[in-house]
Order: sequence, then C-alpha cells, then structure tokens
Amino acid sequence: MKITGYGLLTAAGSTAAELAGASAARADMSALHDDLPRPDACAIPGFDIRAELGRKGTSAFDRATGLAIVACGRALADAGVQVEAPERVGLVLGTTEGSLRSTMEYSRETLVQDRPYLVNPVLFPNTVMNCAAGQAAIWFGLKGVNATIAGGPLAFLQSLRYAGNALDRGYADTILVGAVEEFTAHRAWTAELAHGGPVGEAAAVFVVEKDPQDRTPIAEVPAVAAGFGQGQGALVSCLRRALARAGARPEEIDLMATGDLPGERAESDAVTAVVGRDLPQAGPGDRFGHCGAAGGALALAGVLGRLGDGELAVITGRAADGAVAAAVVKGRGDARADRR
Amino acid sequence: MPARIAGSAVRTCLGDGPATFAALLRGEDGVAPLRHQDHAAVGVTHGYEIDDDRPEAFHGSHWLTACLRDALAQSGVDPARQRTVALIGTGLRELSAVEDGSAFATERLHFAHAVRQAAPQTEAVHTLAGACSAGGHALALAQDLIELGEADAVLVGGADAMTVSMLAMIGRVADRPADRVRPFDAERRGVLLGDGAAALVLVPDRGEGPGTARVLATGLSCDAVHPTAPDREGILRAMRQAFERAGRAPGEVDVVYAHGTGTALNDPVEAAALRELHGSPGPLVTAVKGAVGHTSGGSALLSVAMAVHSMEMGLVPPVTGLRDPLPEADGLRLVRGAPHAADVVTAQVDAFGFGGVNAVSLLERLA
Amino acid sequence: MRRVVVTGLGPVSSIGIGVAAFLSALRAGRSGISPIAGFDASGFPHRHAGEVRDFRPEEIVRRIRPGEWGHSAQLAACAARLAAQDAGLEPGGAWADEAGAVIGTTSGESQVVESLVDQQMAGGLAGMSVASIRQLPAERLSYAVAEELGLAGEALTLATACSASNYAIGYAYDCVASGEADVMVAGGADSVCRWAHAGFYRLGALTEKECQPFDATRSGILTAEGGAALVLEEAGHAAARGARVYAEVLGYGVNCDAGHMVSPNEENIAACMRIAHRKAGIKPGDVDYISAHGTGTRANDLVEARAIRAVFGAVTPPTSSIKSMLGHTMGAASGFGAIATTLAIAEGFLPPTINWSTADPDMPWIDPVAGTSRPAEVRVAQNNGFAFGGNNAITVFGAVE
Repeated sequence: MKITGYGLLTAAGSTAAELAGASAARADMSALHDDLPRPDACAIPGFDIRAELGRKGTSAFDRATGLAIVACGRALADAGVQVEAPERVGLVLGTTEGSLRSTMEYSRETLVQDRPYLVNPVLFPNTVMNCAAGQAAIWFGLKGVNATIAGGPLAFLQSLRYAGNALDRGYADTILVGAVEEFTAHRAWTAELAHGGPVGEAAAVFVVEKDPQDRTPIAEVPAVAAGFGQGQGALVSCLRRALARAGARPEEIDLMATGDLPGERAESDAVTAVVGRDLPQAGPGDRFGHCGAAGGALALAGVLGRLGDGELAVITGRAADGAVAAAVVKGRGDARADRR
Repeated sequence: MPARIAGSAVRTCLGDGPATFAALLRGEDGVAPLRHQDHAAVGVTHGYEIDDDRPEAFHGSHWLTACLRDALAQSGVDPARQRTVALIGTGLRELSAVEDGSAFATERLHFAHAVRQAAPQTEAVHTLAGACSAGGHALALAQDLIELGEADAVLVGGADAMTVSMLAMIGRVADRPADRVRPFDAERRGVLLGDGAAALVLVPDRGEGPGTARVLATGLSCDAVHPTAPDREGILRAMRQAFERAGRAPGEVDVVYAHGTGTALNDPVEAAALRELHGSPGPLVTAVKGAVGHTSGGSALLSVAMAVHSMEMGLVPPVTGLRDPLPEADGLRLVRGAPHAADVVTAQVDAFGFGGVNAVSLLERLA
Repeated sequence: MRRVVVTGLGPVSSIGIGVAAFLSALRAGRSGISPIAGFDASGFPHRHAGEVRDFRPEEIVRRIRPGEWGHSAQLAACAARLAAQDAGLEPGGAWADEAGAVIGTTSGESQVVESLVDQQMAGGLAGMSVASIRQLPAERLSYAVAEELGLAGEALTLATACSASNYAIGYAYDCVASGEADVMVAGGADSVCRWAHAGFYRLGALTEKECQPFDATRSGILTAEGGAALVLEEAGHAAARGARVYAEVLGYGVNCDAGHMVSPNEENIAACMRIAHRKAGIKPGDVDYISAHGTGTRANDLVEARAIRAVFGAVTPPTSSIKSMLGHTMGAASGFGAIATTLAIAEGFLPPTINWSTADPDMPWIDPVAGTSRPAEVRVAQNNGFAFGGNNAITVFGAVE
C-alpha cells in the first residue's frame, strides 16, 4: 500500500516536516472549558468547526467529527484525489471511544431533564463511535468501505492494517486512513486521572492506494502486523512478522517510531531486540500530549518528516492490555518536502 | 424584527411534543373507543382522547397550562421581566365545562386563567374563537405584535377539549361515523375529534437564543362561500397571501403540514389547491390528524410544533391512517408508510375552519 | 484463496446462552423481551428491552476476572469462550498462537460510560473513578476475547455501529482466507443503556413491547444486548482435526450510504447486496434465505424490502428477522444474525419472525416466516446488517458438501 497524501491537524503544525522533532505548544484552553484539571493542553485552540466548514450542515458536529472532516479534506486535497468513483473510495478511522464528551453529555441529559427521553435527537448519532466516519463519508460522498476502529493507542496502526486488507481484497481503490482525538474537558480529566499528564488533540488522515495511477507516492507501507500477548515477546514476534512480510532485513531499518513515553523503553527494547541495534527515535513521546488514538498517526507523520528515499522505518504500538502492532514504512521520493 | 419560535409544546393523546412526534414517526395513532362520552347519545364511538389524570373540568385549560409552562421553560422568557402578551386560539373555549355543569364562573370560559397559572405576569390575554384555524390566526397576530415591537414575547396557544355538542354534530353529519381518521385516503370516512393543546413562545429574532425556526408569514382569508364546505379559491388566497407576505416562492417549500381532516370535502379541495400552487412534483405533504384527531383550536399550532420537529430532525412523518390516496391527490408527494428523510428548511402549515376562515403559515429554519 | 468454515458458535442472548438453548428458542420463536432491569426506566413511556437475564460471566469464563472488564467485554468474552468450546478448541492450545479476535460494537462499554456520568453527577469530572476510566476503551472488547482464549494473533475492535459484527466477520474471513491465520473468533457485543433507549425513543424508532418486523403495524425496535461469537476456521485445518462444520463463509460486502446518518437508503443497500453476491461468487437466485436487518422500524423494513426486491426480482427468498425475538442487540445484531443463518444451514430450518400478523401492502413479496420456524433446505443464505452512519455490511454463508 502506498501513501499519496495526508492531512494533519495538530498543536505543532500541519505538515510532516513541522512535526518531526517538534513539540506541541501548550495552549491555554480554559476559555473553552471552565472545568479542567490544568488550564493548558496540547490542543488546537483556534479550531472552529464553522470557520473551517461553514455553517450549513455542521451544527450537530462535535469536535471530533469536525477535526476528522477537516483532516480528510486536507488529505484529499494534498493527494489531489477527485472523488469520481465514490463507491471505490473508502474511509478507515481510528478512535478510542468516539467522542466521550458527546456520549457522556447525552447520557447525562437523560438524568437532568424533567423526563429522561427529553434528549436532543439530532445529537444521538454523536454518541455512536462511527459518527465521525459516517459524517465524513457524507461530507465528501465516500461510498466505499467505511470502518471505525476502536483501538486507543493502537487504533491508527490497526486502521492502517484494516485499510491494507481492504485494498488487497478489492473493496476500494483509494482509502482515507487516519485517527482523531478531540480536546474536551472529559478527555482532559480521563487523561489526567489515568495517566497524570496533559491531554493532546490531533487528527491525521493519510491517503493510501494499492496502485496509484496518476499520483506519486510519498511513502510505502509494505507490511503491518498485529498480535496480542503479555510481556515483550508479543511485540518482538509481531515486529519479526512485519519485517518478514515486508521482505526487509533487520539491518536495513533506519528509523523507529515507538509509542514509548519518556522514561519508557518497552517498545524500543523490542525494536532493538529485533534489529540488533539502537535506532533513532521518531515517535511522538509526550511531545503532543496524550493523543490516544491519534498517537500512531502522529508517529507516521513524524516518520514521513524524516525518512529519505528508500529508507525504512518501523512504527510500533502497544496497548495496556497486551495488544501490539507494528508497521514497516519505506520512504519514496522526498516526503520531507513541504508540499503546500 | 422577525419572530422566532423560542419554545413550543403540545399535549395530545400521544403525549408531549417529543412523544407525539416520535409516535408520528412510528406510524402510531391514539384512537380508541371514547371513554368519557355516551356513544349512543352522540352517535360517535371513537376519538383521540388524552388519557391522563385530568381534573374534573376545564381540561383544555389544564393542558394549555402544561404546554405554556414547557414552552416558556424552553424559551428562557421571563414574563416578570419581559412584556408578555398571550393569544389563545380555540374553537369552543371551555364549552365542555358548561356542558357538564361545571362552569358557572364565566371568566373561566376563556383561557386567561389557564395562562396566568403558567405565567402570572402576562400583561394581557386574548382568547380568539376562530374555529379550527384559530391557532393560525393567533400566530398571525402574534407575529404582528413582535414585528411592531408591541411585545417582547408572545405566548401563542390553542386548546380544545372534546365537547358533546361537537361530537353530536359529527355524529349527525356522517352516515356511518369513522373509527379512525384517514387523511387523503380514498376511503376516508370523516373526521374524529382529538383532545389537545399547543403553545409557542414567539420572541424577536436577534440571531441568538433558543429555538430552531422563525415564522415567515401567515396568510389569512375568508371563503365567504359556504359555512362549512371548504372552497378552493378561498384556500388558495390564503396560501398565495402567505407567500406574498413572506417574500417566498412556493417552490421553496420542503414540506406541507396539511389540514387533512379526512372528510369527504376537505381533502380533495386541499389536495387540488396544493397541486395548483405547488405543481408536480411539489413538496412532501404530511398530516397529523390520523394520529391525533382533530384538535380544533390547537390543531394549527400542533402542526407548527411538529413542523419544527421535522426541521430539527430532518424527518417528515408519514400520514398515519393513509392507505390509498384519493385520486385528487395524484401528483402530491404524500409521505406514506415510513418517515421521509428530508432537509426541511421551509415548511407550510395549513389550517381551515368552519365559516371559511383559512390560515396558512410559513416557517423557516434558522441558519 | 483458502476456504473458510464456521466450526463454533457462542450466543449469549436474551433467548438463550449457548448454542443449544439459542437454537431451541430460535426454532420455537421465543421472545427475550422483558421489563428493563438494567437501569431505571420508570421515566420512559416505553420500558421493555431484550436484556440477558441470568448472565453470570464467572460461570463461563476461566481466564479473565470479570470484575476487571466492562459489561460488554464480559459479554464478548463469554460468547467467545462458548464458541471455542463449541468448536472443540481448548483455550491456549497451539491453535491459538496465530488465532485472532475481531469484535464489533456500537456503543462499546456503554454501561461504564453511564457509571462515569453517575460519578460526574456526584463529584464533577474530577470525581470519575480511575477503575471506570480503565474499563472504558472499546478496544477492550476484543482484548477480553484474546485474553480469555489465550489468542496471540490480532485483536481488533470494529466500531461500525449496528453492522459491526458483519464487519468483524468479514475481516476475520479475509484473515483466514488470505492465510494470515487458520482460526479467527469474530462477533460482536453491546449492553443496554439509558442513553440509547432515550435516543431511539426520540427518533420515533422505539416500540413499546413487541418488535414486529415487516408487519404492517410495526412501530420500531426494542433496545437489547448480548454477545455473539463465531469460530471461523480454514477448511483444511477444521478437517484435519475432525471438527464439526456448520457452514462455509462465502464472502461479504460492505459499502457506505454517504447520505444520511440515521435513514437507510434503498439504492445503497441493494448495491451492498450485489457486492456481497459478487464477492461470494453467487447469484441472487442461489439465495435460499435472508436473515434480515429487519429492525421493525417503519423506514428500515420498507427500505430493506424494496432493496431485496430490486436485487432479487419478483420472487424473493424467505426473509425473517430474529430481532422480533431478541430486540436490537446493536453491535452484536449481525453476529446473532450470522449464528442464526449458520444454524439454518446446518439444521435445515428457517428462523421465524415472531409478532407478525398483518402483511404490509407496501411489501407483499416479503415472506417473513411468521410465528415459528419452518423446515427448509438452506444451501446459501445472506445475513444483512445496516447501521447509523450508513455502514452497510452483508455476509454470505453456504452449506458444506
């Protein structure tokens, strides 16, 4: 599968070059919410759905949906995709649990209204995890395979793998694959309580194609593998499978982007165990805050920002319960160039 | 300044507004054998009664007060601080209380008491007896009050409880009284009454605040032809006047909430008027009386409230009770069988009353 | 391409837990609907749902500790355990080294979300419990399955709403067919919750007590819950270990309406059926039975019936909806549909549509298999799943020679 374009919305910029090595500015988000564990977050303070997408048809969108649609639009434009055969264009989007805020607020309404059914029917679809993918499909008229992957920290790599399969099996010619995580007070608090760190916000969408006819790929993804198991062994064997499927030898790998946070080495140790040496790290770490499902997508963006023509990188991810995934990425042309 | 609908509420046999609209989408109706009336005496066996813990008398007032409370709460209007006027449309006021001997206090025959139960500080309450289009007439006057700056908020209501006299009249008009209302159906057998009330809160539209729709205009006309039979020309005059006042064209309408009483005369005449005005294919056409009966004074505002729900949800409910459309409806896009998904920006609401009084309102979704 | 067969079934439903109980309820046309006990429904005009009564996960699972997982993950893990047992696969055995789990869901851990809301009401967002936050991620539905069965392959949670199980079965089928794995466990899980009950009520899509798919007087769904799992296995792998084979997975189709979030679309559903038939290598005339999405709403059933007519022509196969018995189990729904379809093929009967009494004049071609099941030879059957967001997914199953 080949990457022919991307769209990024992050607190650190909107191109791969900007993301490589950069840290997200911490913005004061207390104007948006008054109930925050800390005023600052790695969020996109200026993001305004109506300013980006207009007023028509956007009034029910939650922030996650707005971010996803804007990122999809940028990806389509970047790759120069015209949706001419809508049934051949798909969308695969990673999430943790959709919009936690939309869901919790909807549930809360059933408790605080005079009668529990006095909820807003228009907002009901926002409680369903495929809302962003469904709305993006409507916005751009994408009638091909449309999947939402709930994978938290692994969501993007799992989405990439799902998209690769859908391309291989002929369910689409072009797929938008990405992940989105919104900034809300709800996520700020869950991140704070569960991880003790600032929450992040990002949306990243990549255009992938099996055989792009009239577009020049900026990178290739020869393999994505996934597995499950406790301990380091699961990721090690997952990485080995990914390399084997990509036909890549361990010594050819130039770069890694792991999901390790500062002070963690679980994933980079697994990479070292497989490739036999320490590799430069392009993973996001905590530079963008806790970005949940979007973390893996930021790792790929970071890799694109540093990977030269023909160079190889591995991207890894690991979930608390033991799920693992690994992707092999190969640079094509100069992905580092700012093409906007 | 244009008039925004900042709150709306209804009570029907199917419940409050959200419950009624949900039931419309499900294709359900609230028709049942009459519980509170002597079938043989009135010659009618079925109706759309509200089955609640109603007080002994003054049912219409009871439901109207409940609607006004709901609508006021949604609107955020405080009659203690904003100049608030109430206009209540009704067919027969609290006649049912007279019939059962409860009303010897004449001041409770109209709805000032009911309004003050919900909003004691309302400056003035006017009850408009305008038969089955009374709510539409009240809405027209309310819009004037807002546009002229005569009031900060207008409570527009409509209410009627079933009366023995009206039931007996229906019983005598029909050869064989209907057991349900079938608007626009080839085999319709007439109208049945429904208990009901509806209330809207109108405020000047300053581009913010609660609410999803504004009132564009209401066209009013009188047939001056026949006391009960509808007249196509009279109806068309009201429709055309509404578009003229609103500065809109019929082609802009997305849905018509028709008067649709299921009587021999109304439906073909209304269908013909709609066809002439809108051409074919015109807008979607639906009607609520198959589900909730004819709620008389409340009926126009009930349709307005349901049209607002359609705008909010992008769904137009089917015409409950409709099986095979009458031939005159050929070419009308009657919604049948299941809700129709539609982006409803502009809605037309028809209401026609005895005496040939017609009110046709146009609503527009706020951007 | 390798052939893929179904060798194990694990239903955890309101009409039965385990394949034997589920099968007998399906044959008899039993209803699983009851007054809601899972949350306080007293303020709702409609107070019935399809809850899994007598659900005691601690009696089914052996490796996970149910208390560490949300209700939906428990349903998924129990369904998977039962499916593996049914397939004769011992958890943690060599087969599990490359086997994976793919679970679909609509609302994930919806009951955990509602616990968080209760905590928020009591003590603000700062008052949310870390234990609840830890149970929240929907990804844990497939992880619970992997953990319970000791699977070392891919664990994936698909959140494509009410067609999610079909998405999951389709993806798992691809994994086995392409040689990624010899065995995959696929299905879906969801739990009843207050917010979905409220939302469906407001949309005019929730009926009071009886779900009546394809009936002229149908008036909506009943919310419901459950866990559904199927063991998908490479045909040779199954044969080598002498496994009992229920049916073969022939293929699947997916597409997206890209039109409206909640209203189904006839043309796109018909297109999805054609994709499924093409991918499965069958023609409409080969289909002996359709397990309908059949939610019982005015709109879905009419649109689905018309799409069936558009694809199949004047004579359409018997088309029944098990939602008449189960209610709408959301992300698990097409998983239960797949189990019913598989059983129809293996056991030679058509699952019924219960609560059906009046034909809808707008869809006279529909034979809903009213009331109780009917003996029939089912060689090929399709299982429809549609969803909010326009996510259509259809799986096709066939008899094994």
